[in-house]
Amino acid sequence: MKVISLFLLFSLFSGLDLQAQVIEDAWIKKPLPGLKMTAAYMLIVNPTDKELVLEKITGPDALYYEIHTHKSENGIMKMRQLKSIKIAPKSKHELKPMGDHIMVMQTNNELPNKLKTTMTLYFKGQKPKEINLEVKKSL
Amino acid sequence: MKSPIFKTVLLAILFGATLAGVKTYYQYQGSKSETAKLYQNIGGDFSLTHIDGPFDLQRLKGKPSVLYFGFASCPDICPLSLNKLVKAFDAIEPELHKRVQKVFISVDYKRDDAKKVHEYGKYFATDFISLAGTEEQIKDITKKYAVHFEFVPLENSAMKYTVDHTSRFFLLDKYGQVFNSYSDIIYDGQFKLDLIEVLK
Repeated sequence: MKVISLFLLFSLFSGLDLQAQVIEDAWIKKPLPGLKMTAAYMLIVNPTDKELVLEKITGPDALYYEIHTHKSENGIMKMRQLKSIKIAPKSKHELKPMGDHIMVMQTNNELPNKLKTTMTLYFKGQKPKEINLEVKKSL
Repeated sequence: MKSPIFKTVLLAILFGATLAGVKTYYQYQGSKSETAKLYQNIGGDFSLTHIDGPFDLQRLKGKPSVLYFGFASCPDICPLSLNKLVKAFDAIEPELHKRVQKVFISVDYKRDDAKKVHEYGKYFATDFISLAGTEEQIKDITKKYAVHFEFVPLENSAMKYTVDHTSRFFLLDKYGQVFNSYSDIIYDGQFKLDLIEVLK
């Protein structure tokens, strides 16, 4: 019984520690007319001593959420898919226009009319984290 | 009564300023001539599709134009660039919107058609001229305007593929000839100078 209690206590505190990542300024671009895709951005803060790895994203307003990045090489713009985003201990990682971003595809018809939406972020080894995002006109 | 020293200094300043002005003028004329040489082999006629029907270079003649090549599914670069195209004129003189044609050409002939790019372009400015084309037409115009584009498979993505492309603005004069090109038109002072030139 003591062992089980200790295990539950340990799990509880581990859970609290692992949920310590902070998401700030999360927003998603209102999809442009005729398009079923857009991108989302945010600042991920990792105040812990462990590396954070964002591996997957889901949400209610689109079928697909993927991690992508942009790079410019000799004036050529390139977009590529990433498997994950790693946030080093005690550091921040910004998802921003022209950089790393969450590509949101097959958006539903409701998203352009919403002021807010949600996403669930899956960090490796952690409980899913639901976040709120402001839907903003992109320009 | 001013002293002779004051007059001498004043004359020296005026002379210096005149020299600097002449130098700048000739430098600009020189750079214009270099630019003209650089672009004499770039550009030319093309055949694309507008929502209202076939569209070629002839339709742009009579007014200067700014061309940008991209694709509608581009989440960041293209919307930002097209927005810059609008803001650049606002920054110089809002009235210029009517005098300069803003043209968006999609290189994604697999996904974008004239209707889709028209809806897309309209979001940025109602007078945007948005054009699409067939594989042959897009290959032809990108070759003529030295624009690189390449379909790149995204194996594990719902997007299937992306399109690497040159991000550059092309300024055409009223005769449809490429006058200059820019990686950025908001912060590039040369764009403003060239625009004044092609509007003469």
